[in-house]
Amino acid sequence: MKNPTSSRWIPAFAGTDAWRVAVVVGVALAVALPLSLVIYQSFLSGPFFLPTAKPTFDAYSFVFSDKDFWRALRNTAFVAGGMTAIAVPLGGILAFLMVRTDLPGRTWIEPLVLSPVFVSPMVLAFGYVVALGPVGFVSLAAKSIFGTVPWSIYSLGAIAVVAGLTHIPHVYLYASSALASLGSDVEEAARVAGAGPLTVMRRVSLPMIAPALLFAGVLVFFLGFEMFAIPLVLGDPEGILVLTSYLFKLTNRFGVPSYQLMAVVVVAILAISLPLVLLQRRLLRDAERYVTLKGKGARTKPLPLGKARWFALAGVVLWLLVAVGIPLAGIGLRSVVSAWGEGVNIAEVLTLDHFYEVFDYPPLVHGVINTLLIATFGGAASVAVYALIALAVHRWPHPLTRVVDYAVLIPRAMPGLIAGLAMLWVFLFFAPLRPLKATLISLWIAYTLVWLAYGMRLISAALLQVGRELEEAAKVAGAGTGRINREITIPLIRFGLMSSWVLIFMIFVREYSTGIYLLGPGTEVTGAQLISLWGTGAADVVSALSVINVATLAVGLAIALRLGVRLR
Amino acid sequence: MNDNLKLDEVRLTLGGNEILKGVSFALGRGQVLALLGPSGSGKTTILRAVAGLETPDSGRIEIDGKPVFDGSQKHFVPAEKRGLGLVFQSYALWPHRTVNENVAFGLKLRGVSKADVERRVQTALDQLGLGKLGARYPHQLSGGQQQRVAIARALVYEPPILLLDEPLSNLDTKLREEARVWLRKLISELGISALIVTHDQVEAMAMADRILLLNEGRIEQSGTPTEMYAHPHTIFAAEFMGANNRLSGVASTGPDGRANLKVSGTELIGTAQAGAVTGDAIGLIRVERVSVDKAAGPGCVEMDLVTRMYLGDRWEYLFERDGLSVRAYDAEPLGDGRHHVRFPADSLWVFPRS
Repeated sequence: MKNPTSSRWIPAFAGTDAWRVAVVVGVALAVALPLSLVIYQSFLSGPFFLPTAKPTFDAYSFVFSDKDFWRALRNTAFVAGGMTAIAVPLGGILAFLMVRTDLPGRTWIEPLVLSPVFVSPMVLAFGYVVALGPVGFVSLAAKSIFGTVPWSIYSLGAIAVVAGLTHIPHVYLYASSALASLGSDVEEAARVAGAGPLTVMRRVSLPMIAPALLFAGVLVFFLGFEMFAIPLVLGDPEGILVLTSYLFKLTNRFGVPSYQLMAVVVVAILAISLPLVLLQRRLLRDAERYVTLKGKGARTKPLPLGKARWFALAGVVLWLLVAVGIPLAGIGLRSVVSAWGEGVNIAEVLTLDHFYEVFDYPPLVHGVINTLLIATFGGAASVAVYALIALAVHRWPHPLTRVVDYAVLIPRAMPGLIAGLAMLWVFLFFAPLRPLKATLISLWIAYTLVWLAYGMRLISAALLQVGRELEEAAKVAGAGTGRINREITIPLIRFGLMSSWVLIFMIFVREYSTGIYLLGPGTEVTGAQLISLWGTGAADVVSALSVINVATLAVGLAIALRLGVRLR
Repeated sequence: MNDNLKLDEVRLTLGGNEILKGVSFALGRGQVLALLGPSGSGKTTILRAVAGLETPDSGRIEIDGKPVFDGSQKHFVPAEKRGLGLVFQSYALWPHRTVNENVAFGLKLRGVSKADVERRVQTALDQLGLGKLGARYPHQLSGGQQQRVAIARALVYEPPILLLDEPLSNLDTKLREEARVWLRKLISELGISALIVTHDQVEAMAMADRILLLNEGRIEQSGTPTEMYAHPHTIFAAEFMGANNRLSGVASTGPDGRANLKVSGTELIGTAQAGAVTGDAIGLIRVERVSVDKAAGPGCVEMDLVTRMYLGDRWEYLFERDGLSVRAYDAEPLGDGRHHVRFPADSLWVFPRS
C-alpha cells in the first residue's frame, strides 16, 4: 500500500524536509563554533595556536585577581543601572507624548526620535567630546559665559547620562507599540473621573504597559553591558574602564597576544549577558501576551494636552538636541576646522582639508568603499541568509525549530567586539578558512552572525503577515514546500525583504565594534577605523570620516522613509 | 468502491486537546455532505485532515479507495499529493496574483500546456460567471466575486472531491441566500462530490444530500436533511436543527408508547425519543409545530398570550401558564387573553434530562 514517492513517515524527516534540517544544523554550527572556541581558549595557558599552550585555570585566576577587572565590572554595573534609570522613565514619557497626546509635530519627530539608534555610537561619543569635552564648542561657549565649564564629560556619571539619553529610543520603541495597542477608552475613563493628562499618564497609561517597560528596562541594562564606544571614548582619558573596554585594553596590555585572558573576559561577559537575553525573551513573551489581552485599540483618540503641549514639545526638542543634535553638529563643525581651542576664530580656520586627507589615504578610501560594499551587497546577502533560515523554520512543526530559537540568542548575547574576536579565532583555528581572513568575506560572516537575531526578527515579522491559508491553498492545489516558498511566500514578503535590506544596510554602515579585531588590509571598514584612529588622536580625520559615515546613514534613512519602511 | 471518501475512526489531538474522538463516515460519489456543528465541534478539523493539512493521531482516511492516511502503518500522503480542491473560509486568494494566475496555479503545477491552461482557466471562469475578470487582482473584486474565484481555483483541475470551509460565512445575508442556491446548482450540475463545513443548519439542509452533525469531536447523528430535522435522536441534535421550545418537567410512561410530561402542574403528552423516559425530562417542540386552535382539542392547553411580535409573513407569540412558557407562530393576529395552544403529541419530543 505504501508508495515511497508520495508518502512520508511521521515524524517526517527525509525528503522535502532535508533542506530544513541542513539549515538548522548550519545555524547551530555557525553559532556553536565561535562560542566553543572561546570557552576552549579560556582554559589554555596561551594562545591556542601555540604548541606550548596547555589546559589550565591560570587565565581565570589571573583575571579574577585583577583589581581592574572588578573595577570595570563595578563601573559597568553602575553605567548600565544609571542609563536604565534615565532611559526607561524618559522613554515611557516620550512614548506617551508621541502616541497618546496631541503633541505638535509628531509626524516629523518620529523618524528623529529613532535616529540615535541608527547613528554609530562611536560617532556620537566622539561628537560629545568635540562639543562638550574640555575644549569642545559648547564647552568653550559656556566658559565664556560662566567663566568655567560647568560639567565634565570624562566621568562615570557623564557616561551613564549620555548612554541613558541615547538609549531612550530603545525604550520608546517598545513602550510606543504597547501604548498604541491600548484602547483610548481606559484613558478617557480616567479623564471623565477627573484626572489630568499627567495623572492619566502616571496612574493609567504607563502602569498598563508595565510589562513592556520592564522588558525595555532589562534590554537597556543588557545594552549597558554590551556598550563599547561611549565608555571607551568618554572613560579612557580618565582611565575609567568598563568590561568591554577592559577587554579591548587587554589586547595591548602585554607584548604578546594574551588570548587566554581575553577569552576569560569574554566568558565573564557572556555569563552576565546570556541570562539577561534569556530573561528578555521571557519578558517579551509576557509583554506581548499582556498587550493582546488589552489589545482592542482600534480607535485611539489623542489626549489633548492644552497649553502644556508646548512645554512637552520643548522637552522633546531639548532631548533631541542633546542626544543627537549637539554631537552631530560638533562633529560636522570639527570636520571643517583645521584646529580648535580657546581663542580660535572660527572664520580663520575653516577648511575642507580633512576630507582631502581622507581621500588621499588609501586605507581610508578602502574603508569607505568596503563599508558601502558590505552594507549594500553584504546586506543583501545577509537578508538572503536570514530569509533562508526563517523560511526553513517557517510553519515547520518540528522540535528542531527550537534549536534556531535558542541559537540566535547566543550571538545576540555577544557584543560585536567579542563576536569579531571569536570570528578571528575561528579563521585562525580552521586552516582552510585562513585565506578568507584578509577578505571582506570574513567580515561579512561576522556581521551576519552578530545581527542574526535582529535580521531573523525582521524577516519573521514579515512572514507573520502572510496568512497561513494562502500557503495552505497552494499546498492543496498541489505545490510542494519549495514551490510555495518561491511562488507564494517570498513574493508576498517582497516588501518586508526590501525593508530588511534597507535596515540592515544602515546597521552595517553603523557597525564599528565587530570589525575591530578583523581589521587589516582588505578588511578596512570605516566604523572599525574610527576606533583605531581615535586611539592615535587623529581628531581631524576621525571627524571627517564620521561625517561621511553619518551622511551614508542619512542616505539610507532617506531611502527608508521614501519607501515607507517601518523603522522598528 | 462507490465511496469517494472514507474516514475510519479518525482521532486527532491539537495542542493537547483531543479535537476528533474517533470519526467515521463515507462520502458517496456525486454526493454533497455537510459537516454541521457548533464552533469547536471539530468540523473544520475533519476538513483539514481530509485535505492533508492536519495529521491525525490514528485512524484511516481513504480517497477513491486509496489510503491517504493510515495511523497503523504510519502512512501519510501530504496535502499537495492528494489532488483535492479546497475553498477556504477567507477564500485565501493570493493577493499578488491576478484572477487568471490564481486559477491557473494548480494547472501549471500539473504540467498542463500553456494553451490548455488558458483555455481551461477561461472555461472555469465562464462557468462561474467571471468571464471578464481574469486580469483583475483579488482586491479589485467584490466579496461574492472573490468567493467565485476561490471556487474556480479549487475546481479547475477537476479534483475528485471539493472541500468547502464555511463557504458562505463571509457574504452578507442577502448575497448568502443567492450564493446558496447558486452553489447547490453548480455542484449538482458538475456532479462532483463535495464536503461542506458549516455551522448554519439552514445552509446545511439546503445544500447537502446528507448531514453529519458533530458534537465535541464525535458524530452526534447523520442522515438526510429531512431525517435530521424530523427525527433527531438526541436532545443536542433536536436543539441544533431548528427553533425550539424547551420545556423542563417530569416524565412518566403513558399509553401507546407515549410519554406524559408534567410541566409545573400542566400535563402534556409527547413522544419518548430514546426508549421509555421517566423522571426528570426535557420536552422539545419546534416553534412552528405549536399551533393556536379555535377550540379545545387533544393536546390543547389554555394559556395566556403575553407578548406578540410582527415578523412580516406571520406573527410570533409568547404564551404562558403557571411556569410553562412557549413560543408559537400564527398567520392571524390574535387578541389578548386566553387561547387554546396545541402541542401535537408526535411533535413534542421527550428526552431524559442528561
